[in-house]
Amino acid sequence: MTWRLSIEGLRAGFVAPAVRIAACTAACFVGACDEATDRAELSAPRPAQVAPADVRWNASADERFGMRGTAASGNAVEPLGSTPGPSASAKAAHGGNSGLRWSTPAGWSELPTSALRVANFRVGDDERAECYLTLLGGDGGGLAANVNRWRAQMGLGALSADEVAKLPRRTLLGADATLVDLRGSFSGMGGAAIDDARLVGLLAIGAQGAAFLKMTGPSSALENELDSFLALAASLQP
Amino acid sequence: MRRALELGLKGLSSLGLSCVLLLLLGLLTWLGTLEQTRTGLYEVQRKYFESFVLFHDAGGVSIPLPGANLVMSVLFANLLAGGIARLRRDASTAGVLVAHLGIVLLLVSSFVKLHHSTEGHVTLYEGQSAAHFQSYYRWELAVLEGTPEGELVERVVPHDRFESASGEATVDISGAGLPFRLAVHHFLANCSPLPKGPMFEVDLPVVDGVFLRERPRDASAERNIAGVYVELIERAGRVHQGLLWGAQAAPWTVEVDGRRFAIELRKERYPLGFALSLADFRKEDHPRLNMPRAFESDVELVEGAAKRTVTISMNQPLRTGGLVLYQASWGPASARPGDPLFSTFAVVRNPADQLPLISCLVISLGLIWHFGRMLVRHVRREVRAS
Repeated sequence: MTWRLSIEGLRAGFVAPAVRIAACTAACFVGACDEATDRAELSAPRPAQVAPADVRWNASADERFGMRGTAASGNAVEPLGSTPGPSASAKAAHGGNSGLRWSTPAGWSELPTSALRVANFRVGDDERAECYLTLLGGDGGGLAANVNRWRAQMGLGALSADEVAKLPRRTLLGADATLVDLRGSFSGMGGAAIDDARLVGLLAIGAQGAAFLKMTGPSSALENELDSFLALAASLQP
Repeated sequence: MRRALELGLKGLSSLGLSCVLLLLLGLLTWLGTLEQTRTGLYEVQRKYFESFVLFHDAGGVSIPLPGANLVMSVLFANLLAGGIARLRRDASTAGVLVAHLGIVLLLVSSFVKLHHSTEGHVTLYEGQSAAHFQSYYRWELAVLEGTPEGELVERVVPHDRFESASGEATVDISGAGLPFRLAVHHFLANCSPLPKGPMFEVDLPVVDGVFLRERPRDASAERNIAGVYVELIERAGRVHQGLLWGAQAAPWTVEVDGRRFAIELRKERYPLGFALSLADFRKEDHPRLNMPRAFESDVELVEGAAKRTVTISMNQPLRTGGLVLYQASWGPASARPGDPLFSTFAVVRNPADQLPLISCLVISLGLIWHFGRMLVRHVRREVRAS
């Protein structure tokens, strides 16, 4: 098939429509392009798409961003609920995408993060064995309160402040951290109870913020994971 | 001048140009399909098919290419000039002319869809109702204010008006009747809030002990959660610092001159024009599997005093008021037997909704006409020869 060029066709009024089409096309393109600007205007007021009763006024930052546990509440670790995070595959092979870096121990797998679990792992193949890092803006209630809260989760009695002060020390994210290694019957928030459980944790708490690295699971699954846990803690870099 | 115009028109209407354009469309489709394995459908559509120019990354080398938007625009002009306006018009080319008109119609429907359609979804549990649907991808900043009558009004600005506020760049947002203006900065397409600990420093501002941690964009664009830093500047000069995050549980609230405002970053919302309630959701699983074989929803539409009940199933969308509501999905995926389920409807407002179908019919008609005529001529020739 060929398209024949016809000068008569041009003279017979083809040019004007062609120009019009070109102008229309150009106008459409111009109309379709939004001019970049450093000023914007809100629309005119209109009835809201939400009912007044559905708006939570004066919520704190913790409530707004699903973070439970600040210096004020003293309830340090677990988030209110998980929020969509990137899949493990979206992360770098070693370390996260937050500015924090780490080396995932061999045999462990990264899990999606949540509002407060800035690093989240499955330990080995047991789905009940997990390890995660939590950062808080406040002191989370203090060192002794958190150590004893973890001990209570394992069905163990509270330690005195002096006893807590004598617990072994390690380094977590460049800060001095307290190491706990507990065995008992674990009943953490949200998860199923584990009768013969182990909890290994590092708590780095200061006046301006706190970091918690916590590993829990059946004793059998964590029996040989202490070195991996400490290696992970040592690899964490801000 | 006239000679130049004639030459220009000759070039614009040439069959050679058509071939180049169609090859480019094929190339863009191929490259865009490959790119989807890395960046996802939404980003690929924007980069390859809605753009005028793009840079394709070929193993570290950026190759400039015309976007499908440009290619189809030129193809539109090429078809008009060569395939329709200057095509010899007689009985032998009538079918070809009709087929070209069909292709032009198809391109027009693409243009209308690109610039004048709205897509989103509405998700409801049984008993819930909604009067709006929301975008999968696009964000908006909304300022809500309670009125003395106990009602709530909102003012919104779409995110493409302030997405340039990345890094230190600031976009000023104002609204008529408001006793303040907003200065937004550090807009992040995908992020999450994080408490600032003492053992690490961050490059971003920290507000109330929290900062926004940037994340890589997810390949599925609807999974990205945007965030932005906001300064609310009163007329008197007092400044309030705030953080907005797309998945926040509650808005940032500020009181100015005795008036209370709630500010939030949310997915763009569009009015349905009626109230939609989910009366019943049903799903039927394959035997001994949790995989649904079919699912459908009974919905109630309330428009003024009129009320009607409609069933929307996977292949039976609801068309009403310029909208099409498709049964898209359900959840939660982890629900156990007896747990309440939600139903999600994809909602599309596209003025050219039916144009692709009409275009295909027109093209088919033109081709059948053209090749049918040729077949008849051939048969007649054969009969005469025998």
